[in-house]
Order: sequence, then C-alpha cells, then structure tokens
Amino acid sequence: MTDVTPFKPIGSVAAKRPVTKNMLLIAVSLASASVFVGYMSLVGIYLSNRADMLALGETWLPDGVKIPLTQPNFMAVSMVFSLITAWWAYASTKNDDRSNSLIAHSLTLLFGFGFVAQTFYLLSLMNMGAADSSQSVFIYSLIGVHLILCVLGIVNIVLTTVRTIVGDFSSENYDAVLGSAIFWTLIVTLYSVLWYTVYITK
Amino acid sequence: MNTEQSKKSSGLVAFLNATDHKEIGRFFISGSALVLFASIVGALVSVYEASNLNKLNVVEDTDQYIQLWSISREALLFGGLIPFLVGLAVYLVPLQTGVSNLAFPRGLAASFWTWLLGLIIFVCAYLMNGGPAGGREDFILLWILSLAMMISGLIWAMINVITTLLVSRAQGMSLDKVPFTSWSFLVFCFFGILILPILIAELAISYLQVKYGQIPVSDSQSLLAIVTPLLRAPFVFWIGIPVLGIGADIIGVHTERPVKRVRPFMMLIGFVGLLSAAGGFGFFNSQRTLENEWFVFVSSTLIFLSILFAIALPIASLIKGKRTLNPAMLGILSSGILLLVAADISILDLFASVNDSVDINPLTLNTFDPEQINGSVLSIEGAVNYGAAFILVIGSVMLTLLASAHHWSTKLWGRQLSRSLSFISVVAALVGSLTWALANIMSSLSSTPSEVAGATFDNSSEIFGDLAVAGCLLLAGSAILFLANLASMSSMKIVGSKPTAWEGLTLEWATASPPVKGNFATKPVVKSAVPLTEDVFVADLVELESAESMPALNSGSEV
Repeated sequence: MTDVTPFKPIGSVAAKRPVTKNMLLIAVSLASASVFVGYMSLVGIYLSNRADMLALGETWLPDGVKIPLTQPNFMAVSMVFSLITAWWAYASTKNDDRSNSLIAHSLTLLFGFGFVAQTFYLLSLMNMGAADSSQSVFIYSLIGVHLILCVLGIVNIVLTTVRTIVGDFSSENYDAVLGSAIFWTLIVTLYSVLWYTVYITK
Repeated sequence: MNTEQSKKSSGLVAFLNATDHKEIGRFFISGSALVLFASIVGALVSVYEASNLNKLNVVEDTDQYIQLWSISREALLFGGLIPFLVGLAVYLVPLQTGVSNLAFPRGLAASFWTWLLGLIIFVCAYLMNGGPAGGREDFILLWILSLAMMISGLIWAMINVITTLLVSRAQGMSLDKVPFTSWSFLVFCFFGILILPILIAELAISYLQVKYGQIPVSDSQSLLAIVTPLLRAPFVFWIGIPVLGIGADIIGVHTERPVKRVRPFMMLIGFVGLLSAAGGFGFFNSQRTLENEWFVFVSSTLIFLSILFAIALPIASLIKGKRTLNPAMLGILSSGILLLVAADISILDLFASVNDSVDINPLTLNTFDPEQINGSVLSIEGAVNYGAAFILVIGSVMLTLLASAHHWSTKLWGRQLSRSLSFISVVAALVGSLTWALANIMSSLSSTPSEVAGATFDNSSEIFGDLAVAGCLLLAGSAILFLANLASMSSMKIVGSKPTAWEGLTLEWATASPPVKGNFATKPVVKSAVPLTEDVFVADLVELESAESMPALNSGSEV
C-alpha cells in the first residue's frame, strides 16, 4: 500500500457509520453452514458405503463390535441440556445478567466435558480398533470429527466465559456469546445426526 | 544491525503483520500467479509425457507420471485459479462497496497464511514422494493435510468476503446496487463455502483410510478421485462464476454503457452458482449412471442457458455502446465465449457418455494405457470430453484474470500494465486453451472409448498429443508474459491515474490509484448501482479532472 497519491479521494459526503452489527453472527452462521455441509458429506459417504455393504448381504458392524445404547442416549440428554444452557447464557448476557450468564456458561461447559468423557467411555465399550475393518474407519471418522468440533466448541465457550468474567459483554455487545451459542447449536444438531445414523441405525 | 538491515526487517515485519485487504489481496494474487504458471508448466510436461512416451523422460514410471499430473491439477485449482479469484475478491470487494477493509482483517491474514503454509507443505509432500501414487505413507498423509489446510484458508477468506458484502456496504448500497463483480464474488464465495467442505470431508475419510491401512500405499493412486468431481460439469462452472460479473463490469465501463437489466443479470449469476452446486451434489462421490445422469443433464443444460443469457445482456451494451478494443475487452469477451463453449461441450458430452465407461485423464489426452495404471486408478466413468470442458473453463478464468489485471492494474499496483504485452498474453491464452481443448475433443472423436481404453496410443492421438502440447505451451507462454508484464511494471514509478480512468462507474474509481490507506477519505454514500454518475460524485470528479498531477490513462478509448 502506498500513500503517495497526490489527490484526494472523492466521495466526500459525510456518511453515517456503516452498520457493522451482526458481523460476527453472520460469519459464525456461514462457518457453521460450511461445517454442516462438510459433516453431512461425511454422513453421506458413510451411508453410501453402509448401503453398499448391506446390499451384499453382510452386516455393517464388524463381528464382535457392539454399540450400547445407554451411553449415546445419555450423551443426547447432555447435549439437549447443554443447548438450553448455551442459549440461557446468551439470554442472560443480553439482559446484562452476568451472574446468570456465568452459571449458564459453566453448566454448558460441564455438559460439554461430560459429553467428551462419555464419548471416550463409549469408544472403549465398543472395543473396535480403527484398523480392524473398513467400517471402523467410517464410524471413527464421524465420531472423531464430531468430537473435534465439540472440543473446539468447548474452547470457544471457555474463552467466552473468561470474557464474561472480565466484563467484556453487555446488552450492547453480545455478538460473541450469540456466535458461541449458534456454534454449540450446530454441534448439538450434528450429534443428533450422529446419534441416529451411527448409534441408533447401526 | 545497520540501517539497511533494519529497513529489511521492518519490511519483513510489515509483511508478516499485514492485515489490510489490499496487501493480503496482492499477496494472494502474486502467490497464486506464480503457482498458476508452475502448474501450467507441470501440466505441459504431463501432457508431453502422455503423448510422447519415453521421449522427454522427466518421469521414470507411471507413479511419477500420476504424481506430476496430480500436482498440476491440484496446484492449478487450489494454488492458482481459486486463490487468484479469492485475491481479486479480497482486493476489490471493499473498494467496490465503499468500505475501508474486510470484516475481519486478522482473520483475513490468518486465512492467507493458512493457505500459504498449506501450499508449501503441499509442494514438500510431493517432493518427498507423497500425494496420490506416492510411495511414503507419512507424506501421503501430509499431502492430505496440506490440501485440507489450503482449502480451509480459502474457505475462511470466502466467509470474510461474504460477511463484508452482507454487512459492511456503503450507505445506500442495497444488495441490488452492488457492482456485478462484487455480486459474482458473493455468489462464488457463497457456493464455495458449501462446495469445498465436501472435499475436506473426503480428505478426512481418506486420511483415516491411509492411516489405518484401508488404502495401502501401493493403491494410493485411488486418492486422485478426491478432486476429480470438481473438474467435471456441473461443478466446474462454479469456478467460472466470476467471469460473468467481471465481464459485465468491464464491458459496461469500456463501452460506456452499463448493463441495463441489473436484477435479471444478478439472478442469472446466482442461478449458475446454484445449478453448479446443486447439480454437483447430485452425483458427488457416486458413479455416473443412467439414474442420476438426467439430473446432471438438466443442471448442465440450465447452466448453458443461464450463461448464454448472462452473456447476451452485456452484448447489448457492446452493440449499442462505444466500440473499444483493448486487452481487457478482448480478454473478457474471449473468456465469455470459452465459458459458453465449455457449457455446450459438457451437455454434448453427456449424450456421448451415458452408456460408455472409459478411463479419462482430464488434463492430458486419453492416450495413457489404463492397464498400466491399475485399472481403477483413473477410473472415472462416463464423460468423454469433460477434460475439454475443464480446459475451456480454465482458459476462460485465466483470460478473465488477465483482463482484470489489465483493467484494474492502476488500482492494484498504481501502474498500468503494458498494453502490448497484455494483448499478446491474452491472445496466447485464448489460442492456447482453444488448441488444448480442441486436441482433447478431436482425440475423443477420432477413437471410440473402448478403443481408447484398450489401446496404448495410435498415430492419430499422437498428432492430437502434439496439438495439446502446443496449446499447453501457449498457455504457459501467456503466464510467462503476464509475469514479465508484472515484473517490468515494478520498475516504473507509481504514477497513479485519474479516478475516472476507463470512465469507471463503480466506487473503486472514486478513490486514488492505488487506493489510499482506508480506501476513502470519508465513507461514501450512494444512491444507485452506478454511483459515479451521481451529482455529488460528478462534482468531485470535475474538480479532480482539473488536477494537473494526475496523468490520464490513454488506453481506454482506442477503437
């Protein structure tokens, strides 16, 4: 960039400050749409391969692998509760209620950590080696990518919580909390897909 | 540290800390121009090797050939064409919409560095025998990661462009008053963030498959299939979306007659984006069969019609407006025609391909013996001519980039690109892409798919091979000329230009060339899609016209 130009730029009419509200909201929504498409592609690839195998008269899950339902269902409940608390945090921030916002963020984090722990426990129960079969790669890719997204969401909420503690947010400035809630909603939505596709349908 | 060293380090620090959209846009454009050239050279060697086996001996075996072919097409797409378009979008969108920077400047810098780092790792992975048909598992995995990094960087830059366009436009600029170029970038980026994640998903699965032995290193050629859908109709037309918007702006400016039917034109651009993405989703990751072919056929036909009408609207300006011939006009007109021909070929191709299954190499000719490459490696069922359509789309986008660089060169670099070099470069790109595509078409017409699949190559295809090499050489020559043009310009003094250069009508012409920091002294207010015709801007322009220190461009009015 250079400042050498000898003439003034035109367009000298005084203008109001351009509307920049919702900038973060739109960016997070677009990023979420992008992640959603990517994850649904994974699901599509998974279902396509599953259908091919079933068409050959074989079972999808490898021999000896069992997916219990208790853990996935509890994980689903955790996700639903975390969704409520994530939006509770947003509503509290919007109402300048910092203490409620902190409680809601903490609960979301609690549910989030609980979800991650339950996922690892479920994987240990499934007793399925990643290299054992071609199916396991597809199953792990769906669970693994969701887990990575979940960890990213947790990191995001941790940062939002810290910023809430230091008083960054108010009823005038809550875009980041809203963005965080939208991203968490995406994670919960994707879990509902994962829950039905892998854990229920098997 | 002496003064010179401190100057250098401050330059490096400034380079690393850059967050201005103009700087990052230039980085994207310069970097991708170099990669574009390198990838065309790679494609040239690949074509030469395929059509003249054992003559050049750059590659020693089939695996190396596949690696060369693979790196050419991936670098062409994710290192060259798409980043160049993203760079243009990053540079032009804030200027055209009257804002000082993109929505997230640091995010923009992060997207560039992610892309660049991915690109460096991508090249290293290939050099270390990675990539499809690579022999080392670690570097095959690294190739997958690097490709995902490059795509992620591009997606993030696209999100930034969309957010800016949706949220931070100048006061009074509703979406239907956004310049065509910015509108086409909006459509391009919007569908980009929906199309590219599919590739990342495929890469994620492939990573695990390679990592856990489901795809053994000996069968790593199958990884070629990941990128292939993006090269085929209707997906491939997504890359061509900016051609339409940039074309309308350039034609409107140089004929001094802007496109009249703004909303229909914008809808047509959106329609091309929607169809290319929707049509692509229909057969992504599945084989071409009669069941899903109709979907591709319908979307390809509608894309053809949309492009036809989208080209017809600016043509009206061409007929009724001022007749001007300069590199920008020649480039943009040629690019529109190439895009239309590509759409036409992709429809005709579908008629020919429904019942055929043939191994095709989209960048080279159909002359490589499929038996040598393990049958399934390049097993892309269906299209005979999709290689030709892909080449024409590449040519179209390249011509658009050359035309854009000439048209906006004073905005981009503060200097005017050489008119003669730009002309030669545009002509070389046009003839080169036509020749290369023609070689593919003739090759497929001269031999039936079954003959191609069963034979090594015959005399007729060798002729077409030479033709393809000639086309490829011309394209490489065009890229060299463009780089030489850029290099020669760097020695010139920054002269700037009148804001009214080319008689531009959109906001980027309402600021200095190159634009000042922050782009505009005050935030502009607009009332129409052509703000520079509005009274307030005209008054300023008249004042500026009298400024003696502003040399006018002299290449915008030749007949």
